[in-house]
Amino acid sequence: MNLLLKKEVRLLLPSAATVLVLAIVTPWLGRSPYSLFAIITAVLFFGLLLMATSSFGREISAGTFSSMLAQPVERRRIWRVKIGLLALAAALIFAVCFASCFLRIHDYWADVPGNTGALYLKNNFAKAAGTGALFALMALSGGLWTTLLLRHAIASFWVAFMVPAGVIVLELLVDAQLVSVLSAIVGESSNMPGQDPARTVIYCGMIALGVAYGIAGIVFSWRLFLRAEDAARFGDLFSLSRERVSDDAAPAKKSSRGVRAWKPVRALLKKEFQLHTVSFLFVGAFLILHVLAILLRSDETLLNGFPVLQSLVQFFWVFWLIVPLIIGCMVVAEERKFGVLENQFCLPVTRFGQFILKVLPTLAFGIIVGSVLPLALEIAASSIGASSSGFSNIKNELTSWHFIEFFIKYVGAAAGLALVGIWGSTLAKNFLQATSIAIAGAGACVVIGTLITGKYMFRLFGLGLPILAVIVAAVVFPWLAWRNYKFFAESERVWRRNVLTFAGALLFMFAGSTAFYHRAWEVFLRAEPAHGAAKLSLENPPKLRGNIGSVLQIVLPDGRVWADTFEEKYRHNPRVRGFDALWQNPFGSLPVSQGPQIFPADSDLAASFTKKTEDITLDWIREKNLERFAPASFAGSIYNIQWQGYIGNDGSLWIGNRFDLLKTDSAEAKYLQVGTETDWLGVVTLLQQMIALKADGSLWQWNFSYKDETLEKKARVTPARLGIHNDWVGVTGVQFRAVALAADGSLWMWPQSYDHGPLMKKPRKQPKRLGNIFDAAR
Amino acid sequence: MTEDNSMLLQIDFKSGSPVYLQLVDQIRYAAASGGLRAGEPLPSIRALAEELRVNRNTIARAYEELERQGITESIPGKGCFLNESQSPYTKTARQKILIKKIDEAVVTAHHLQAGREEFLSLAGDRLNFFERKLKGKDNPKN
Amino acid sequence: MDTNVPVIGIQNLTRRYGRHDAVDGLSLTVRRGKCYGFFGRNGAGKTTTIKCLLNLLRPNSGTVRVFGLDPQKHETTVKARLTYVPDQVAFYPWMTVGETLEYLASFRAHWNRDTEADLLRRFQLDPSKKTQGLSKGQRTQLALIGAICPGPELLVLDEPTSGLDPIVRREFIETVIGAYQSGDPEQRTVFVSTHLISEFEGLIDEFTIIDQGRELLTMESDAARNRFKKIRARFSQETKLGLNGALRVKQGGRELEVLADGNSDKLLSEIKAHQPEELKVEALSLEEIFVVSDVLKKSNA
Repeated sequence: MNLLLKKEVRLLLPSAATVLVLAIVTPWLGRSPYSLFAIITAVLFFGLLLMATSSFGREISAGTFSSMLAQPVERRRIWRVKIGLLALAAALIFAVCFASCFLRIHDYWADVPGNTGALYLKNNFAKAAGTGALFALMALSGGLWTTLLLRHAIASFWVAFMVPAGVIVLELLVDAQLVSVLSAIVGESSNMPGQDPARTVIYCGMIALGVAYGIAGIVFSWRLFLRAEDAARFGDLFSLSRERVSDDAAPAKKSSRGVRAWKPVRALLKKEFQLHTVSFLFVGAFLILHVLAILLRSDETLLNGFPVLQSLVQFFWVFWLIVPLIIGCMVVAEERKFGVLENQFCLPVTRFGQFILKVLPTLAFGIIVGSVLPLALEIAASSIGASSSGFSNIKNELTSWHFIEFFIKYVGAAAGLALVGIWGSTLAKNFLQATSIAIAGAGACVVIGTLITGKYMFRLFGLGLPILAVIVAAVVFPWLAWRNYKFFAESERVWRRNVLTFAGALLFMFAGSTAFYHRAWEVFLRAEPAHGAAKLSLENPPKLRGNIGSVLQIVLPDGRVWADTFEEKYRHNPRVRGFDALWQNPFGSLPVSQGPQIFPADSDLAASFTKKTEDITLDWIREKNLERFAPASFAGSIYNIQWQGYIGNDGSLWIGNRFDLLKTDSAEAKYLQVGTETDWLGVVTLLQQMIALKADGSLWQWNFSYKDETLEKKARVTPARLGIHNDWVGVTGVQFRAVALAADGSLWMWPQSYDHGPLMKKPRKQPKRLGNIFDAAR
Repeated sequence: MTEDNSMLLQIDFKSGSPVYLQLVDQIRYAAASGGLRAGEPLPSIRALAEELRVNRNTIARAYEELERQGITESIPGKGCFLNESQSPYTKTARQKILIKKIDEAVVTAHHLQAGREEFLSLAGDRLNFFERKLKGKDNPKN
Repeated sequence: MDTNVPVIGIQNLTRRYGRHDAVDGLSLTVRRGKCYGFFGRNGAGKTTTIKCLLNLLRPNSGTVRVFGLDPQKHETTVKARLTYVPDQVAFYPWMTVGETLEYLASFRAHWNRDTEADLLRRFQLDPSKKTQGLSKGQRTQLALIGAICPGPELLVLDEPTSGLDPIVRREFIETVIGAYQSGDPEQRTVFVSTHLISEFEGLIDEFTIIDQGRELLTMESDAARNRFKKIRARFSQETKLGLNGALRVKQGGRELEVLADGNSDKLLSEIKAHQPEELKVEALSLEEIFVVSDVLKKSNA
């Protein structure tokens, strides 16, 4: 292969590989792909910018730029090779990324017709791809011209990041004023956003501007390269740090006696501060952009029809999280690039002291800038009515636990990114390398940690991130960073140490989380506590009824009614149309105080409950042509709007397509029999589980994975025996859980199992004992 | 047997004389004093240039000058050889070198405040000493 | 090949860095087959001049011609006929020694494999070693191999031996003489900028001393050594001499040291008139000429 080409490939490879992996993996990390396109666009932009910057940036850092220019090869040829390769890599990444997105959408909403989310995404896919391509073009050209002009990796990165963003935002703001003017000229604006001719003109203009910037940037960089000299024209602007660092290294001039005050801490802190000078400049610019985004938000209809931009503007506060990463990456790598790192170690200050004085301010700075600042901005934004959709009523919620939890997680994310950046920085020789390493490391950790700890869905601000991974990461990264910093000279051992530590940490997480996940301590417990003496039996079974709210009612054979409300921290209230009548509390609002109660058999409440609900059920069954199914099928709350389990009149167990039941004259009602037994007494359908009670008093559970999409697949799943007892007398669902009543009157709760990933969550050995109904007051 | 007989060439950048001329002189001197015998090859231009760390062109120029003066003869494929026939030094040239050395001795004597008689008597003594030594070598019984 | 065209021709070169003139009106000419020395203090403008030769920097004014061609307009042609060993040698860190040489060879029409093998052996460089692990001396040696093997007409060296140990420095010069000047020395030109002059003294035919961007002195080496003389004399008693036209006079008690610039005979006779006890005349080596060049500067001003 042509050696020049080979060299160029090798130069580009690390950053391209990082971005490629990022592009493939990012779509699969979200809980739901609603913000997918915005995040993907941002990732692509950031990643391609990194690639474009490193194309020339690495040559400049390695010092080979001038020797490359000194070879007898036409600059045009060098340019062609570099740009061709860059374009190829970008196209590949782009294609792979959108293929990944497409697969993700397809997977998430597999054959669910009429789902508005999927339709929205599918319709806007082309638009998103187009916008993504535009952003890719702008990223590439931005990276190229800023690197060639400024010759300073960090500065070029920031400028390339912000110039197009700023231009677009400004243009949109200006257009907001122009819309009314243009409408008067072009024509009356219709009510359909996106079809407004005035707006269309503006958006076309915006796209044209973006394309123009992209092409102009590339042409400009071409000209810059052809005329490139071995000196940066504006590099001096951004070497403030360099000059100041070297000035500061000289000891302060004190009195003629030569006594110098011992102030190492202050000197080191001052040096750190100056090292971050460039960052300060750009944090300021980022701030301005954020303010502009908030202003854009204030006009809600401005961005209709442009889902990507809309999401970007709404979620702009998330992008601040890049800042701690960048700041962290700068920290050690820049000193190493300047070559002053070794000198620092010759000072009479301990390495650990220097490390702490470096890491803590950086961490603090990263946290403040990455989380506190944007949140403050958003709070301010909500007070002027331009709040992001992420925080609808944030100012009302400031003291709520919900917000505090969110705040802690956000701060944690900023801190974590800063730490990862610092760690990457200790491994790299310059900023670009550090960024690649940090992104690769963080991404790998997230992916592997998520997979291994069994959670397929990674929710940034939800409960998805296992605490174990967080703790391990919080220990591993700083420790590794410290060791890398301390022994910075030995390169092979550095890599070995990092790899081994990561392997060890992963192993630990795997073992720990598997044990935790599979409730390893239950090995030491009895399989299930024994039940007491039987007070109920299947000959005269009680009737259990749960509803979508949180009320559980049990009608005992002697006519008494036991009732209780189940309070949960998070309320889930899906509205299922058509079933309101059935699941309405027959008593209106139940006069229940805290705690379970038993209403005597002769009470009005009990009587009306028993009769009314049964009547309602039978009427409804007739209405829906479901006579072949026993009323017991409809006893438990139904949390699944797609499918449901039914008990046939002969005791057989069926599974049916629930959605079709809503249509009375549906010809596509589909029911499949599950197994061949005909001794089923009751069934509860949860989101991905079905629990059924057999005539012999045993409970059985079907666990459906997300792959069992169709009814046929579900019907083929073999059930597993739930628990070890066979004195169960009733089963129902309440508050998203399945509740079973044992013969001794004890209530046991079996939780939902979520299965969204390769590791299926197995049912707990120990169900949770809720209490005994016969212990109820009154 | 004295050090000047070897082919150790040295360039003195402080002599003020062009390098190539110094080389020419030194080679001529070596030829005259037996450091280089008739028919012996001169070191190759490259080797000499490398050893003295002198520009090859300079060495080449020196060799050209030597050939022009007839002191050496270059045989293609074999190198440069000292010319057999010619005596490398005319008497005048030899005397010139000797005069230079004598001048040095005279100036030194003057500085050390040795007068004419002392100088001449010492010179005679040294000559006698060397003659005796040479005779002693020829006659083992002495 | 037109032998009358100078290999390097610089006329009134000016190049500014910010507000500071790195090179200010420099002119010099290097003819074919010469070994040209370019001496100057640190920061005098040597590297800037060299970069203008290679179109790594563009002159603010003045002309630069290499092989009679403008390096800006005929960049590839010019660079195909010369090689360059920079001050700070940089290689791609993942490449091995062998790979680096192959990479450099891929740009050249002509590459002498024998020389390459020879030099690798001589410098004891292992072709499979990564460039990252090389010492400073080894990196310079590798750069030199890369510069010599294509057999270029012009070899440009920028501070090649600074920071190297004496053995490596000697080997460097020997290699330039031996390996580079093989082939037709008439066609091989060397342009070396350095401040370690004593080692290059034998190599240099002609030189220019540059100071603060301006040319201070241009001469042939032999002529320079002939022209600048140091006269040392000792008198029997303290004598005051009014030596006009001397470059520098150092007088202390009975000792006298005079630097002469071409007028050594006149000064000598003046000194002899006072009957010195001892009199020594010495030519200045190039290094000494360089060291006293600031005296020259003052005398020219």
